Amino acid sequence: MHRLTHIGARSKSTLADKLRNAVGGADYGKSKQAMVSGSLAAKDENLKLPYSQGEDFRELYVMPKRKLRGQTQLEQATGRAEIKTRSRFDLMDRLAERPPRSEEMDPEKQKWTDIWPAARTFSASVVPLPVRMGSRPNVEKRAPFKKEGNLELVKIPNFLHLTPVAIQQHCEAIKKFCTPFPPELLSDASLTPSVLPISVQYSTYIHQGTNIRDIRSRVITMIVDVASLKLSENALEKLVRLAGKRYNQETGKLTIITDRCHTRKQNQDYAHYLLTVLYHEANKQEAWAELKERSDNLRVEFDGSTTKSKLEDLIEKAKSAGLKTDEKALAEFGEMWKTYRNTEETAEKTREYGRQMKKMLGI
Amino acid sequence: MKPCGRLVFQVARRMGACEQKISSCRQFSSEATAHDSIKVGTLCEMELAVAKQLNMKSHLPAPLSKQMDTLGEIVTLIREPIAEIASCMRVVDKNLPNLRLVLWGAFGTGKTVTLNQAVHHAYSNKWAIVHLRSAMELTRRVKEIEMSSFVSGRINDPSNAVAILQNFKQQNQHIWKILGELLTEKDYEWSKSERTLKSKPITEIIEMGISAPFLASDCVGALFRELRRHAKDDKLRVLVAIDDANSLWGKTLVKRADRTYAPPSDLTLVVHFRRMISNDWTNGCVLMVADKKEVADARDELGVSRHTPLELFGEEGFEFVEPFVPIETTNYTESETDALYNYYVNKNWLASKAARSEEGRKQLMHLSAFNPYYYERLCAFN
Amino acid sequence: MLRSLQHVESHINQCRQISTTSTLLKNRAGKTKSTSNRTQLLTYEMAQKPHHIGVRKSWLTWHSQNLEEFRQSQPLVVAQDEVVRRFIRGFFPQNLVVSGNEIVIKRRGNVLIVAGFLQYSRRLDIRRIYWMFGFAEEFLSILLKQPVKLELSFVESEETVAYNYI
Repeated sequence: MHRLTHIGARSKSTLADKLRNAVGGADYGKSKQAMVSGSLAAKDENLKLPYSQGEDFRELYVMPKRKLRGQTQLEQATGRAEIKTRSRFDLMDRLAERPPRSEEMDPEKQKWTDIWPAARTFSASVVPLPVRMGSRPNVEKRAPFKKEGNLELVKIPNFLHLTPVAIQQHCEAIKKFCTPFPPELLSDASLTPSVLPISVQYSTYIHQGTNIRDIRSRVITMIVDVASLKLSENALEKLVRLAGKRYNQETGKLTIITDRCHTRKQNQDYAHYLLTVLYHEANKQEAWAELKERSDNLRVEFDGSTTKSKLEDLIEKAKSAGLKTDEKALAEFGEMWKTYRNTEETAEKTREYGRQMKKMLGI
Repeated sequence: MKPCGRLVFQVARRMGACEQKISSCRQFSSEATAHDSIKVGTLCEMELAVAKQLNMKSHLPAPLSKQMDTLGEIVTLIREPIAEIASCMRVVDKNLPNLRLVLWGAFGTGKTVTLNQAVHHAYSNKWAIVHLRSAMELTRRVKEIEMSSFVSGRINDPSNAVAILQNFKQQNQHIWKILGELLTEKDYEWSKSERTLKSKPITEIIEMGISAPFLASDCVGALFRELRRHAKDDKLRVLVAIDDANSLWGKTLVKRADRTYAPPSDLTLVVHFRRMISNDWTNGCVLMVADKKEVADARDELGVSRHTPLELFGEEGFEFVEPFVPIETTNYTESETDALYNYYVNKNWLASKAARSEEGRKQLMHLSAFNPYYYERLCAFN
Repeated sequence: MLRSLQHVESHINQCRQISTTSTLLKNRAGKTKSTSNRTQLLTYEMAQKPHHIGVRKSWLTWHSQNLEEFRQSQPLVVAQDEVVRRFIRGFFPQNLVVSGNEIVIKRRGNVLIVAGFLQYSRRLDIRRIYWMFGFAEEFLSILLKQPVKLELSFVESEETVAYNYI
């Protein structure tokens, strides 16, 4: 440890010797008794005698191994003080300082994905790019703030961990767990409803914070392609009536959204259960279904309507009155009328209605 | 909104100056109707006297009737719809069940004006005219009601019934003598004391109704029945012109005794008009206007209602009115706006210099987006 | 003269006096006062006025609790932020840059990341710093019940983060 070496260095100081000499010669500091006596044998003899006559009182003078206060004061006053610079306590750490990592990096030997493997805040010493960020009143005069000590660069999220190479590595690692997309569906997207008639959708929610739960993650949306259920005409109509708003006429899809149960799995099972029940109920024929009348139909049909009978009547009479009527146009009119009544009415459809009516009646 | 104004050309007053200025595509109304082909795109005039008889002031839309007062003439543009109606009216025959036409179109495109033009056309061809100003008046502006003694549960509307009879009388002055010759087919017992005997002229029914309001609703029914009968017998041709006809199947503001709103089928006048529309009589033409007024809600800021017949009549009304010929009224074309613009310039109606310039002409056209109502309003302010 | 003054005094006493000091009526938050010899150090953060947040400088904490669905947990996050900042300020007393303003708190999923700048102008003691980092991370993780990562970087002195001096 450096502390010990310091002590060792001090003891080898030449000034101590000098002072010693200045005060009492080379043998200063050694016991006077030893000096006076000479040899050890002589010392033993004299031990019996505590004090021999004719000698002075040998004072014990213990000299500290440092400069005395008087000495230092003198030196300070005269200005010859040797100022001892203490080296810093953190000197070794400071000596150990290396240049920033970005200067030591070697693109051939290292890969960026190893240096920045995961998302991390921007570190100016690691990123080798000369990036600047910050606004200046006049950019021409002074460039934006450098990257060292730039808090703005730290604040923003960076994607240095998602270089194309990194992404490719990720993909390579995951690929072995994937199966290829069915090529039949790639070529013909319209096959999807028949091959995969049911699609189940759910969401997972990630939160910032101590709580990882979110109540919305238990909602299940199940979309069924009704045509693939292969129901008869009556059964289909019954299903549509039972499903109500859940059935979309244009796309032919039945959508069931459940969040009734506590967990996602339970909701999924419940949705499947609902589908099963709907299917079986639709296939059942009840006795009271016989009582259905024309006004109960979901769509208005041309064939049984009063309009048809009135029209036929009118055409006959028009013929007898001398107008150039067109009977064959009645079937075509029936088709148009059905779309007119059962779908969204637009101005264009009304014009079409007018044209066909005029043609039929020969006006 | 009656951008297509009918020009009433008073030849006596402004001979020379006007003749030179006015474009040659103006026609006299009498010429036009007598002739088989009506020129589309021309301005047609109606004499003031005729207009007065036909009560145009109250039947035309407000801006146009005000213009009539200011300019002193009624000038309207002949457009496609009226040409179609005229050709349909020519087809009417005693063997043919009544021809039903429905005028539909966006706001301000000329439905009511076309209706009035058709009424004028019928007048010049000596038809009988049953003209209702607005079916909404029957359902929503009922001032006082009476329970019907004729059929229980029906609600009579004396003030409106009297108004209808008076209107009929005024409009049909040109065939009053003919009407006077038509006789009732049976005894009508209005009340314990009043009665009209068999084989009396039907004009008596009208007089009876006008004098006794509480009988008026029943008189209206009887009158209509007689008209239908005589039309079948080919004695006369009838034009039934109903503005806002889709209100006959719409909302009512008439409250019954138990404080619920009465459906339209409970109102006698509505029932009578529905019978007039129905298909079972011949030798006539029914002209109806499907107007958005019935379904449009002023408080609904976001919704936009459609102006197509099925939407406006409702399912029940639509099935009643079928089979009909829908006739659409559209926005102006450039030539039509030009004709109207020239007319306004000639009459000094467009006062400012900016409006009279070429730039102004184009601006007026485009600012109004070729909508007849807004065009008229813009011209009135420039 | 005196007489007129007397009148004036009485007038003054009679009417009500309202004084508005216009010089005090202005916003002073986030604005540092300039010194005469330009010794006041300004970091980029401090140099931009508060109304430039979102325009020229962005926020010091990044979290999603200001959105509509997270109203319940918003105060918790604010408190956590404050705890973290105070802790850093107290635990690294000599190492702060500009009294601990240069700390950015980010949240990524469950993890709370404290980033920013500390200075080693007076004492650079690598082992000690590492130990303090570890302690801080552990302490904060246990306190806030979330994994806390410190990604603070060191600058030589405050001058490195200086944008200009006013």
